[in-house]
Amino acid sequence: MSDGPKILIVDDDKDLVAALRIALESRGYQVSAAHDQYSGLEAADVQRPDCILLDIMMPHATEGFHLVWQLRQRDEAYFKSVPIVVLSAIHEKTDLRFYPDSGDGTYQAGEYLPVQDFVDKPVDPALLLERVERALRLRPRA
Amino acid sequence: MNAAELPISSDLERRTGWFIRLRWLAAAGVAVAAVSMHLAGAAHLPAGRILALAAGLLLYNAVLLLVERHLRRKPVKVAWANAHFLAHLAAPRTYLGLGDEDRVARAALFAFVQITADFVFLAALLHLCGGIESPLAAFFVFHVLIASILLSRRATYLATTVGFLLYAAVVLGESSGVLDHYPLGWVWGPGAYRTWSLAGPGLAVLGVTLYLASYLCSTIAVDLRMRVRGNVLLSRHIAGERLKLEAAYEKLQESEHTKSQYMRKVAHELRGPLGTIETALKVVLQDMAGGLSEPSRDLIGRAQRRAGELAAVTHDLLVLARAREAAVGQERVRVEVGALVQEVIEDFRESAARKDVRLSATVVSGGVVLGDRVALRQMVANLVENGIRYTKPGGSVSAAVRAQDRDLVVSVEDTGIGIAAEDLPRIFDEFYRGAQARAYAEQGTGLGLAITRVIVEQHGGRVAVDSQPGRGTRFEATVPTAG
Repeated sequence: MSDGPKILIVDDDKDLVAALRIALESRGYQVSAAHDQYSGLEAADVQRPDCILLDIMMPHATEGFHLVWQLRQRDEAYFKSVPIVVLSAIHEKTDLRFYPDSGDGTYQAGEYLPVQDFVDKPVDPALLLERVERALRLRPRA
Repeated sequence: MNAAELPISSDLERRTGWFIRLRWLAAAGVAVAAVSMHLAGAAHLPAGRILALAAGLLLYNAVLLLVERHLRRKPVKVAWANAHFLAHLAAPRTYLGLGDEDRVARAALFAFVQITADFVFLAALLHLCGGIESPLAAFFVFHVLIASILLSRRATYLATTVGFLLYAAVVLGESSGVLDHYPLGWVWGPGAYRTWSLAGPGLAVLGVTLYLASYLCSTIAVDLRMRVRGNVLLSRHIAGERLKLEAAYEKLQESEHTKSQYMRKVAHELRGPLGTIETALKVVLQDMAGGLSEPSRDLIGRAQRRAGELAAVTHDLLVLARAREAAVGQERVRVEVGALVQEVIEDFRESAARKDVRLSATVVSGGVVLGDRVALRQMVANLVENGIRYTKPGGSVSAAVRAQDRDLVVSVEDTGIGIAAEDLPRIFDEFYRGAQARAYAEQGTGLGLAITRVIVEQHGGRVAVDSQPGRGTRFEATVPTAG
């Protein structure tokens, strides 16, 4: 068991989770997974991952969005700053603009979804690893 | 057009309305003539009785006016069983069987009653104004003409006979001494009305005139009415066919819509699993899951390529379905097409350079199209991507935007392999790829041009292609500009 940064994957596609787990573990990350909004929230609460990889369209439509807003609404500083990388091509279909790449790990609330980055599906594992590394690097130190 | 809008019954009613208006004139004319003849010293004519007749005519006409207004305001249904015989007698047969028969029959019956009553009045006036000597005989012909225009042939002959019998009754009554004679005294000597040499030819000429007029005029009228009937039936047929066509079109659209929805659903369902397959294969191929033997790597590579092809098809199917459904309720924005084309060219610069294909854009119009920006961009991208795909290294692809009348023309021209003449009509069909295209480039879903056409058509435009095998292809998308 490695002791690298903890990554939480929240996605209802268990096969995709399995593939991403292998990719992430090959770089020494500790990977855990949840498959819906509520278990994702609980896992974040209990495990305090260093980064969350989040699917948007889960069984109940746009659960990912709700999870983001619920996390960010918590008072604790951790929840406001934990990097979230969205795994979805959903920005093509909605008016929601995603976090502008300002490069310093901050985000603006409001019209932007307060996440650090997004990676289109189908996920390219090499690209995902790159984005996770960047999100962790830019993470504001609490 | 429904039956109530058909002109027949209202025409008949309007024409019966003429009588009432003309009759005011006739009554006034009779009164004026009686007074002026009296003043001119024609003491032998019974001016008082003639005036009384004019007054009677006015009264009778007032009653008819009331009846007509009543009929018009509140269409009374003819009690069909009672009026059946008379109505069928009076109404032109060519107007029956077109619906609205009650109104047609009622109007015809009303006209018949008026013509008959007018004959009685005319006969009385004839009697008071010189009988056989009077030129009023001409008005008998006039009534026969009107009868033949409005009524059935049988009713016309019946009315003609009524008129002729009344005329004959006056002439014969006077010549036989049953009725008084009021001589007009212009040409005829006193007592001439009693001689058969005047009454005989008078009756014969009027009789022949009346019957000949009713025969000729009703023949023409029947012919014209047949044409009206034909037109009515034709327009009804056309209206019926139009309804059928509209229903068929609606059904077609509905099924097109269902097809797109189905396609979108299927593509969407395919996309998730396919994406996962691609990711999983990439994880393996990129050695994240441990080392691979060469044969395994080769096979996984093949699987990954095929999964990629499938993913491309599902992606294009989704785009196509979305473009098809976009017509309804799509929010349209102002899109500067020139800038859009330049953006697309920039996007493809790298892949063109990799293939050693020169890429250029000429924009000579800043025209704006009202539409879906994402879709329009996709449309241009499809054409440019196609151009690059089917052009050999060293060739070129050039895009241009120009204005033409009220339209904007986006053209993409390449120096590629071209399209065979027999393939040209089908290249915009879904999944169609010409033999040369398939031989030259393995990738290609066969959906790009179908998507292009749908998008252009959704924007009210059209797309055209011109190609010479071995020399190149030119696509032109013409879309109407905003405002």
